[in-house]
Amino acid sequence: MKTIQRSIVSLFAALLATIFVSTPDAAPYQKGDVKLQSIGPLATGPDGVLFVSDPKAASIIAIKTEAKPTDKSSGNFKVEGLNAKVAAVLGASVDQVRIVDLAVDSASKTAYMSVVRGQGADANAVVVSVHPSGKIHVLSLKNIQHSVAKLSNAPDDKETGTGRRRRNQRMESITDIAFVKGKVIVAGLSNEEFSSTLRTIPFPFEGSQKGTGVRIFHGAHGRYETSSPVRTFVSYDIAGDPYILAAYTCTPLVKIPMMELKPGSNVMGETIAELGNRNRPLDMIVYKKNGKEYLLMANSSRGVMKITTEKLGNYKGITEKVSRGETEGVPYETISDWTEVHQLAELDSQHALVVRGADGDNLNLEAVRLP
Amino acid sequence: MPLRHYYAIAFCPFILVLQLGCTKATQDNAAESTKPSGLIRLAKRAAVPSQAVFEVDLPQAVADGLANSETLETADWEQVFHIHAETAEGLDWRKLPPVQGSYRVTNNHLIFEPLFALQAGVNYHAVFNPSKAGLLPEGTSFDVIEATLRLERPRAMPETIVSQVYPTANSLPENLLKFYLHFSAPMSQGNVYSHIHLLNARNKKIDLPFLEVDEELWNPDGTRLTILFDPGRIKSGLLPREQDGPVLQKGQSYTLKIDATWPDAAGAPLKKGFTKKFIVAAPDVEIPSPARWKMTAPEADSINPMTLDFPEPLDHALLQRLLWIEDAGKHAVEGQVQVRNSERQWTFVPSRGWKDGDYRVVIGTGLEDLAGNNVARPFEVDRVQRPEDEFIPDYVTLDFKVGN
Repeated sequence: MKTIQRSIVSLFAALLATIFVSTPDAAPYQKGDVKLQSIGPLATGPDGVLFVSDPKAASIIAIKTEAKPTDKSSGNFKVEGLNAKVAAVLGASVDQVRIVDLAVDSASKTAYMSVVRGQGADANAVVVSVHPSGKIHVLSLKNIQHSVAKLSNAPDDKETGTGRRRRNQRMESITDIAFVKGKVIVAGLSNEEFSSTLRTIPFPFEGSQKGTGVRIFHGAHGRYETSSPVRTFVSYDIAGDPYILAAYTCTPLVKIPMMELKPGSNVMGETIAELGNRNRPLDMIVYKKNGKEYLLMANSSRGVMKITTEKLGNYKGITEKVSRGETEGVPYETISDWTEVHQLAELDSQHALVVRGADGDNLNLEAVRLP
Repeated sequence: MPLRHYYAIAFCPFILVLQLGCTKATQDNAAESTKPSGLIRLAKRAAVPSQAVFEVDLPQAVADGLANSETLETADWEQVFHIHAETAEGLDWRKLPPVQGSYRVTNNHLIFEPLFALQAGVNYHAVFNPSKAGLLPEGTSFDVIEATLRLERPRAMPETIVSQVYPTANSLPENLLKFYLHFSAPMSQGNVYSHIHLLNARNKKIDLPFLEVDEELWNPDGTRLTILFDPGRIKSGLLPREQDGPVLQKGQSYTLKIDATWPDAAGAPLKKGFTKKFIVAAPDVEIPSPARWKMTAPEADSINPMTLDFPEPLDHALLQRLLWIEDAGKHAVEGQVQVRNSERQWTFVPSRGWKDGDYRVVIGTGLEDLAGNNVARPFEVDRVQRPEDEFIPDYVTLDFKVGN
């Protein structure tokens, strides 16, 4: 067992910005075609709902999928050469297909992937479903039950200085989404100002409403606070209260109480660990085993880390600098045989489903027993 | 479903067809073997070759059988007529699933329309095996037809260039946060970081200088890419900076290099590569202060520019979006913005002449300098010196008067 190195610290101050989120109608779903301009991260919710992010359209689309629940074991879920097979179904060469995100509907054991086909002006945004039998299909977006939440494109999108006819060049990428206790949480990153936004949208999407946009600053040595984009996040409960655990592009791991994500209030997030240099957090899941809850985090260069969330609940924010090389911090374990994991999703109580590198440029989709 | 009229059934000059008729013996050599009545071909829209459909003539016996049967499901059709993309060299296409699409029959032609436009340069292997339909009269069989079809890549001439990189100054702060790369036409997306390099004074590539975000921070048109320096190596006290130090170091010189091999959205490489040399100055930790801007107001009835001169370069993109002018009635004045003098000067020329009266420059507090310090808040807030956040307005203003 190692411990996460920490050299820094402190509480977060978080500045809330109110951002409007509007939806076209109050019905849970409407039937019709969905046209994606782009595709980002996915999330699943209850009753077969799949949340698809479309950053270019600044939208979250909730799709009612038709996948049927199953009790069958999914431990044999394995698709070798996933990227070549997805490319084949899409009729493209493998170098023109990019798997953006993976989500699993644990009731039907169906995996969904957001995929971009092509790199040029004619690129297609596609949702692909993968059945445990290995069958790969493009999810039809024609005449489907769906509901759309439109995200406003940032608080400041005036173009008045150059005439209103000029097109706004600002875009907000979506780095992660999750469904947590009746809300869709969306982490965003602008291509202009350097700030990070966390929005919450109640689901079912209802008429015009205020969402919460939280701009987050994080600390170092209990002294400096800066802003940064959230790379990935996950929710977990401490004593019945939901928290967001967010991993940042510049390495800190931060916990944020969800109860405080309210319009107009200030949120304090705590830096509870640093994830190390030359490393990007990629994906996180929380699971239970033998009555204990654990966090699994896939990283670009530091493998998959397993952290006990029990420790996170009691762990106080890093408030003092520790000397170089010191390893005090939230304890973690690197899962040595989980190599090359790019995407991570919970499949069932026993297994995670991962997209991982295999031979050469091949990717596999496979069920892995939770550690 | 009738064949759409706009599909001209013709061989496209760009389409390579390798027909392998009668390549496979049927399962029953004793059975009567009927020659197929046609070839597998691509039928295309004249204007958009990539939206071609695969078409094959149905033998009369199959067509007759179809006329007397229920419509087949897609899974059945996939048995009869399947198309496989050759996704990568060395992979056996027969082991990969078929291309997804829809089937229809019209005028004794079976048509497969792929879900997505064909990719030029990819081989598509089409297999027609009417015996699989279960519609043939007993004792009848057909030879399997296979064809390899391909849309040739149109010859794309390199025309796109890097039109500008902001900031344009040649001396940049040690805590520089981002570059904006502007291109003369939309670019290909999805693999950008392999084409962008930062070299030190000895022309050696610096390892991982930028924050590589999978989302790639493009503008809606795909003509501008935002590149962020790794913020973990800028911020005080974070582990990456503690261990590796800042990417840029004061007093050193660097080159930003963009490879000419980067394909544009049409697939053509850049006309030429791009380099920007710069030297690094001390880190900038001060917020940009509008009180220190020099304002030059225009005269009434003129369309002379209103000019703001800044003591330091500001963010080029945000200068376009977070600065504007309002009249006394708080209505935004229409006009054109230009940013000059290495992003140290902002000029605004109104669409109509200035009127005598009071105006104000409105400044979004999110306006940043080159190091991410904005008008309201430095990139890093030192909580020892600034224990509490003051109220931060969305906008601040500078008043000016237009007169004769």
